[in-house]
Amino acid sequence: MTRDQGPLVPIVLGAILYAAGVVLSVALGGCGSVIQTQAHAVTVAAVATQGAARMSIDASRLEAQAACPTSAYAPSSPEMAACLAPLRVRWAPAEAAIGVTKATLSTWIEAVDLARIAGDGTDLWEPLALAASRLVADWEALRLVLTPLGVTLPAMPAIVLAAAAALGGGQ
Amino acid sequence: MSPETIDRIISATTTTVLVGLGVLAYYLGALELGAVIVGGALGHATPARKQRAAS
Repeated sequence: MTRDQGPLVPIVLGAILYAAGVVLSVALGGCGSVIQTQAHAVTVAAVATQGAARMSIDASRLEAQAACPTSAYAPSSPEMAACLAPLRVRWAPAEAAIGVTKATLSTWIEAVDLARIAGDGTDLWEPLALAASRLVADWEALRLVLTPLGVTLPAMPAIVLAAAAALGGGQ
Repeated sequence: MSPETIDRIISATTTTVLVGLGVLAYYLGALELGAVIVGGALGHATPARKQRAAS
């Protein structure tokens, strides 16, 4: 897969590593991290996610072209579909990870915005509950991504679950 | 809802993003890097590290 994509792969992996370092440092700092630092981390993570997503899609296409060439299978034929089926299964977690990560980046940006205005008297209940609700859904999607890879996701923090549940229960 | 809720939401989002990036690194062929990022995000040793520690 990556072997055919030349020198771009190390660059994207470097971006992922850098983003992971930045995000981890912010995560360890918690909400005490300066808002600007959080915003910087979101930006770095978004750039790395975009690059990794594009490269993953390219890698899956290259693999599909190599395994199921149009010279051997007619496009849109049942044979082509059968040939592609195991590749779809193999790449499904990566595809799902792209969707979950992009969605979570939006929630993160929203949460940083809420942290920015917290304490100025604005009622944050509804936007917080909405963010928590989306995050719970993303967490569940991530659990499904990780299960085939043999990784178990821990339970979502109770306070986030409670915030998400409050949306349905009216606080 | 308290600032703690915001804190936990941000914390969970960073974990999710890290795990997502780790999965993508894994699928781009950097198996060890992906495992380390996912393991680090979830706060426990990766299987490869555990194996090395045991040997």
